Amino acid sequence: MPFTPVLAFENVSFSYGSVPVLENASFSILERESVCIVGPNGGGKTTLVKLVLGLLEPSAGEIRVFGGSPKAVRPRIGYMPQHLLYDPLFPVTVRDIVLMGRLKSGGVRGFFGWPDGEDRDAAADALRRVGMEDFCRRSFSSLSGGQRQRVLIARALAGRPDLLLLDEPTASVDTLVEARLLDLLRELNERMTIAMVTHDLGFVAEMVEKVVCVNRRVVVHSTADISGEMIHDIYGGHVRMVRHDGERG
Amino acid sequence: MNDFFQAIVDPDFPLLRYALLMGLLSSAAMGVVGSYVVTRRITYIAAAISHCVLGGIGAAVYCQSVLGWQWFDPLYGALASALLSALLMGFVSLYAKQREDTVISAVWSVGMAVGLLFLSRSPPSVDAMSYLFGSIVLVSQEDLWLVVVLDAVVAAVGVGFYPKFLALCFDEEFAELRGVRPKAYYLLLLCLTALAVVLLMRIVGIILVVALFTLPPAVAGQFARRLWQMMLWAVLFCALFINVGIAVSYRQNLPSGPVIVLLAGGTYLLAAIGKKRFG
Repeated sequence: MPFTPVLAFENVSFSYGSVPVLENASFSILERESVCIVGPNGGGKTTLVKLVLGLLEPSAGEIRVFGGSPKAVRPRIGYMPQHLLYDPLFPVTVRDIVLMGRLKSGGVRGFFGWPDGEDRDAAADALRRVGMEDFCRRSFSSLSGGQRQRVLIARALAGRPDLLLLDEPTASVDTLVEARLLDLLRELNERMTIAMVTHDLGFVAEMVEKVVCVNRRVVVHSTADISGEMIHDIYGGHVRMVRHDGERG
Repeated sequence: MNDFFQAIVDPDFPLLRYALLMGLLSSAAMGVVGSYVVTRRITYIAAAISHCVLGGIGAAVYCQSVLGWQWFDPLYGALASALLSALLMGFVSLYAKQREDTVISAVWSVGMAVGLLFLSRSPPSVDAMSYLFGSIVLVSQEDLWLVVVLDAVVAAVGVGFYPKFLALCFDEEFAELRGVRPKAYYLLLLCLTALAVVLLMRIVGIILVVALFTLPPAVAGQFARRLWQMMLWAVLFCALFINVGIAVSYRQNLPSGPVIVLLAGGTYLLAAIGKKRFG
């Protein structure tokens, strides 16, 4: 049986008009692997995520997700966007949001979008997994940043995905919440492939195996060899490094 | 107040009854569509559609009075121009690379200009002011039937697709990833908005009708925790504003539209202050 990676980019380029954002990107993510996507602002991280979701089409090259085109496999991808973008006044409860992750397109129910018993069970299950089941009747606007983050992860999980794609899960979350988020992601990683965009390498270094560095070009590093050169690659400049193991660099 | 209630039951004065009934019925569509319009943040598009309706009304009045097309009721003209302007703005904002707010201003003012030109060429007996600011004198029994049908269609479509509209208004990109076609539903929402504009234009007038899209859901939004609760309260507030507004304007011999809108605006102000102080 030929071996298919969960995600494969082959010589993918993308540009907004005449501005190139990605050039000749080739990399792949294997099943149950966890990777983190890093790079400077404007380096193309979010573009890469949107290409994986099929919201953007590459101008050259090919993207295969689960061996198919991104659009065709959307139901197998759970996506969590950055939560900063929401209208804080929107009248919606936690359960309403998680049920959005169960919307589907076929059948009469799919046509109108009303959830059935199975959808409600899946939503409740997803909320339990992120530890937010007691909040299902709360309004989204009354939650803290970390709680909202968890709700959006639950929405991504409600569709029972095989690939979880997280955009900046640690943005506006304090250290304590970060630690709990990491535990959750580790647990989820036993069942699904996880790819996340982050600024915060320290957050993921102990969990992920691969770091996909995006700065117009894409370079993949293994976390085993995080070095000054790699940090330079990622952030595109000189960064003062602090080593935590007592050695002086 | 007594003479108002006497007027309601007066068999020789059906206009007031029609107006009250029309207000009550249209509130259903208004609350449902208005809540989507407010949460999707497209109230300015609703305003542009309602102003554009003058173009259709003007054309219909001209055809009726000058060309003698008696069947061409202003209501049909209003319906056609509302739907046309909604689709035009929808397609332009989705597909053309133009600034959306510029297109909205253009459609808004060109629609009104067309209407004013047609009205200037029509006999002066037609009271343009009644269309602009609303008057219950315009309501007839045939209109009432059309309003019932439109209202039922708009409310049924709005409620039927609730889960999809909710997902789209909250997070369009995510809804698209779950198989909801955002462009199609955006155009559908604009068409529902256009129909709702036509429902209430006789009572409130086309210039002020946007207030009934915005203010009842805005008042409801001060305390509603879910979108359907916002809708339900918006329907109730809308019905209340229209009926109390008509009663007051009848008693004081004032145009109904401005009275209704002042009532709605005042309530919103009080609700917002109340939330700030006690909420």
